[in-house]
Amino acid sequence: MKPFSFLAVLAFAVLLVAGCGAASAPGGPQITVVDPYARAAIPNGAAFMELKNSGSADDALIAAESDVAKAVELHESKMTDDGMMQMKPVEKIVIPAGESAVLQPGGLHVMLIGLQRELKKGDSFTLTLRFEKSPPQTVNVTVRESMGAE
Amino acid sequence: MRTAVFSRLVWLIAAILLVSACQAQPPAHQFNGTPLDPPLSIPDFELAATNGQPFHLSDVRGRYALVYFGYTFCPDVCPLTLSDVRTALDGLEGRERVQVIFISVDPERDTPEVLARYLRAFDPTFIGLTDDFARTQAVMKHFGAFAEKEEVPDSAAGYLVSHTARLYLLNPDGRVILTYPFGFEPEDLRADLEYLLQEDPQ
Repeated sequence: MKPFSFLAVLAFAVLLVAGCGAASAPGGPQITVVDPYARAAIPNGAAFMELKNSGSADDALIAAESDVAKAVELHESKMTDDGMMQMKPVEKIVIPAGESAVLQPGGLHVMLIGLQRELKKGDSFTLTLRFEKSPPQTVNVTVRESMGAE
Repeated sequence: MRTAVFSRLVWLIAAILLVSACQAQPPAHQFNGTPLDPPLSIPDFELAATNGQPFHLSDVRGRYALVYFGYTFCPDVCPLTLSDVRTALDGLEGRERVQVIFISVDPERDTPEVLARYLRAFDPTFIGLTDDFARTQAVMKHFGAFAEKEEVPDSAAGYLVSHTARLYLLNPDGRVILTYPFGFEPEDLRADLEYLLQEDPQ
């Protein structure tokens, strides 16, 4: 009886450790795309979202693709020191481990250049996000009329 | 002696009444926008409107005007501002006494048709102006606003235009009295307009 119970405890401990290992995905980023949306627009549009990294390594959004527009790029709007709003393409959007990258109006966004169709409130389209380390994710982007809490 | 004390007392009461009367008055409206003191006079100008007619700033004399410089290629800042302006004006009493004017900083791509279609998506009463870039820049200068074209060869956009992202509120005399930075709250703009329209009934 004694050796059996020792074995049982050992087996349980092994399982526990293995379980923990699987849950924490050692060393990798873990990206969740939160609330992806776009605004009703012509002739160009922008997609916004929160990219949450609950993993233990940094990652970065490096590209996005969609057949809703002729070109899809990562851009950033920025207020310059002299008060001008400037938009520029960015190579990647870093998502630090344990943190979020927020894509929002007046800041980082996925720019949809040359929309193939007018985006109307209530529409949706698919957007594939490519990351430096994590596998690509395809998300459904819903079109909102205006920005605020709707 | 008694009369002297009495008269002092009267003065004191009068002073107290005066002070309390002042405090009882409703507080003056605190503008949410950035006030320009003195207001900035804008010389009359002419730019081509999307309907093919020349537009003069003097055409909207007697009304308040909200002027914004932007372009249809701008995907986040300009549409957000326009939709916030629309929200601020929605159902406003005296709405017809406020004219929104969108001036393109990208006449090359913003043909009258493109700009008209873009603005219609927000509000059909918004006036769109698109004219020669140099002429537009000259108008912007009067507002203290700037636009600059920048080539972006690594983007499908080809070029982008940096521009001042402020909203200008002109009084019925054509002077800028308030400005709003990018990201203003629609309710704040609405409160300022409500006050101005009430103060200055027609």
